[in-house]
Amino acid sequence: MTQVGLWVVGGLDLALSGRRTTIDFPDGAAVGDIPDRLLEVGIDAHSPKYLVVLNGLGWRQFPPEQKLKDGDVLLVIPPLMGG
Amino acid sequence: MMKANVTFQGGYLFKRLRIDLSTRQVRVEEIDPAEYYQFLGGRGMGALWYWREIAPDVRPLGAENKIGFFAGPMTGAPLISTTKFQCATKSPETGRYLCANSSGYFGPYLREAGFDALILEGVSPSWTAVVIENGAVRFVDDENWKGLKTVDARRRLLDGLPQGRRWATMVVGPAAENEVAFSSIMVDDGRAFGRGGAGAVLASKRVKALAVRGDHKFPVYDIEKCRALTKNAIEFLKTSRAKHRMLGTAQFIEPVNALGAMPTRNFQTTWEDPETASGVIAQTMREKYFVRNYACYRCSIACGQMTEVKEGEFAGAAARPEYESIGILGPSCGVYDMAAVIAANQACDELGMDTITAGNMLGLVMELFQRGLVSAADNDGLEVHFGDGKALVQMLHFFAERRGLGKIIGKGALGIIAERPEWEPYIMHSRGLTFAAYDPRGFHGMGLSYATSSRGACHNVGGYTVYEELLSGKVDRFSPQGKGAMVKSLQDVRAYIDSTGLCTVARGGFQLTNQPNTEVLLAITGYDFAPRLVEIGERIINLERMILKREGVDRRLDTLPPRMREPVPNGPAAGHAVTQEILDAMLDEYYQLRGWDANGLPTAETLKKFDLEFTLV
Repeated sequence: MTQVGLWVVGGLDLALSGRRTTIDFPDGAAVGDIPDRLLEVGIDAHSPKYLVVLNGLGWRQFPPEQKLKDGDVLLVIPPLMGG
Repeated sequence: MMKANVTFQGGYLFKRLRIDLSTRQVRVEEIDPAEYYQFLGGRGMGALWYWREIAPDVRPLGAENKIGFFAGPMTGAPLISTTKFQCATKSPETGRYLCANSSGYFGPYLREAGFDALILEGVSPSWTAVVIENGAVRFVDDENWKGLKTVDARRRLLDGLPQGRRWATMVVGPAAENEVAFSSIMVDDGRAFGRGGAGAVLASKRVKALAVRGDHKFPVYDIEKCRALTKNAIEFLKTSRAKHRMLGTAQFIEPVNALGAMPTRNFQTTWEDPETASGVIAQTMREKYFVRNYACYRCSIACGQMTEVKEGEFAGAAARPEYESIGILGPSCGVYDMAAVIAANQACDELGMDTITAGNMLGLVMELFQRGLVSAADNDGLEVHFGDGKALVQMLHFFAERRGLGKIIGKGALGIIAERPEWEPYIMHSRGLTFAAYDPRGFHGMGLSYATSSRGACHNVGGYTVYEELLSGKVDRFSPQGKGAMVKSLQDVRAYIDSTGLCTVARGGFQLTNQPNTEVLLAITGYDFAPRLVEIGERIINLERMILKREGVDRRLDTLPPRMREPVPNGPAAGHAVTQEILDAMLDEYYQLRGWDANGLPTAETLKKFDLEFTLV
C-alpha cells in the first residue's frame, strides 16, 4: 500500500473537511488513479467545486502514469478567487 | 474614433453629468454611441475620458485633477449583481492613471438619476456634499463636514436629505482630508473605491460626500430575455457560489496559507503554522463573529459577511472583512486574532483608508521596528510590533491623523521611498501600489500580474492567476512558462468585465468568460457585444498602456521589489523566488502576445488593430 496524506481546507462541505488524514492507494497506483480514490472518500476531483493539489501543484500537472509514493500529500481546496 | 454601424436600443443613457465645483456650474453632455461600441462602458469609458482630459503633468491633488465615475451597460440593469461602477482619476498613491471599481448602490442610482457618467472638476469654495436627484444638483456647504468619520458623515448626510426613496452615497474620511495617499471613497455602508487614493482626490476638491437618487428607468432591449437569463444565473450561482454566501472570500485564507503564498510578517515569509493561522480563517470568523450576510444591489449571492466582536478588548468592533483585508491586516502583520482584524478593518473604513495598502504600511512599520530602524521616539511613543493587534489599530489612527510615523507613511510607497530610500527593500509594491495578499513567489503568475497591472500591483486589474495556476495542469505555479498568455487573457477578460457593470463574482452566471457565449448584453443593449468582448478588453488594456506610456511607464517600471528575488525561507513555497530572469521571461512572452515591443510599448501595428491610432501623438 502507498500512504498519501490528505488535507481538506477552506471550509468545504465534505466529511473530511478540516482534517489531516491519510488514505491508502494500492501498490503501483499512479496520479491517474487519484480521482477514483478520492471519489471513494466523497471528493469529486473533476468537480468545479474543488481544486485538488498534489505536493503543492495542480494534480493535472503530473503525468497520469507517474507513480504515487509514501508521503505524497493531496490538498483539497475551494476554487480560489480574489477578495 | 471608428464609427459604429450600430444603433443601441437599450442599456445606455448617453448622458454625462459634469460638475465644476469651483463655479458650481453643472452641464449635461452627450456621449457618442461610437465610444460605447469601442469601449463598452465603465472602465473602458473611464480610460478614454482620462486619455482626453488628464494630462501627464496634472498633479493628483492639484486643482487641475479631475475624478470621473462611469457606469456600464449592465450597471443597474434588471438582472442580478448589476452593482458595479468605475472610478478614474490620477492617483496620489502612484502619481499615475488609476482605475478602481466599487459595488454598492451609487452606480445603479446614478443611472436612475439619468446619467451614465459623472465628472467632478475644480475645487469647491467650501467643504460640501453634492446631492444629485434626477437632473438636479445642489450643494450642502458646511465647514463642519471636515473631520467626520465616514460613518458619521454618511449618517449626517442622510439625516439632512428628504426621506422616501433610498439614497446612495459616497463619503470620504479624515484620512482623505489629511491627504493620505491611500485613502478610499466609501460607497454606501461598506463598499469602497479602495485602491489608489481616490478619496484624497475627492477631499482635495473639498467634497466630503455625494448622494444620488432618481426615478428614471433606463431602456432595456428585451426585458423578457433579461428575466429568463436572470433565472438561469440565479440557479447557476446558487450552487457555484454557495460557499461565497456561507464564508465569503475569507474562505481562501486557509488554502492560500496551505499553499505557501500568504504574506506573513510583511512578506518576509509566506506561511504560518495552520494552528496559529486558524485564528483568522473563515470558519473562525463564521463561528465567533458572524452576524448576517450583506448583499449589494440586486445580488442573489450576498457574499458580504457582517461581523461583530462581542467581547474582549475589541468589543463593539464591526466590519465586513474580505480575503485581502484579512490577509494583509492579519498574517502580513503577524496578527492571528480575528477580533483585532475586524477592528482594524473597521478603523480603515471609518477613517477612509484602503485596507490593502494600510495593511502593507502597517507591515512596513512593524518591520522597521523589528530591524531597529525606528523606535517609539519616532512614533509619538507608540511601539508597533508584529503580532500586536492593539498597536495595529492604534497605528491606523496615526496614519489617518498623520501622527508619528503616519506623517511619512501617509505619503504612500513612492513618497516614502523618495524621502527614505533606505526603507525601499521593506515596501512590497509595483509602480507605487502595494501588493495584495498573495506572495508572487508562491504563484509566479501573480508576479507578472502585479508588474504589468495598469494601476500598479493589483490582483484584479493585473489578472488573478492563482486559480488558473493550479487548475489547468498546463502551467507550473513556480515556473515562468505560459504565464504571459495566462495573464494577458485574464487581464483582457477583467477589462471587459469591469466595463459591463456586473460584479465579477456573478459573471459565470452569464457566461462572461474568456470565450463569451452570452446573450445578456444583446438583451440589454440590442447589440450583440459577445463576439467582440475580449477584443474590447484588449483595446482597453492597450489604451491604458498608452496612458501609462505618456506618464513615463515602460519595461523599466514593470518590476517587482527586491524581496521577491530572495528565496522563501520556509513553508510550502520554500526555496522559490521570482528572480529577474524569471520576471524577464514572463514579460517577454507577455509583451510579444500583446503586440508590444521589447520595451513594453504597443507597436503602431497593434494600435492600428485596436483603432487606437489617436494615441500616437
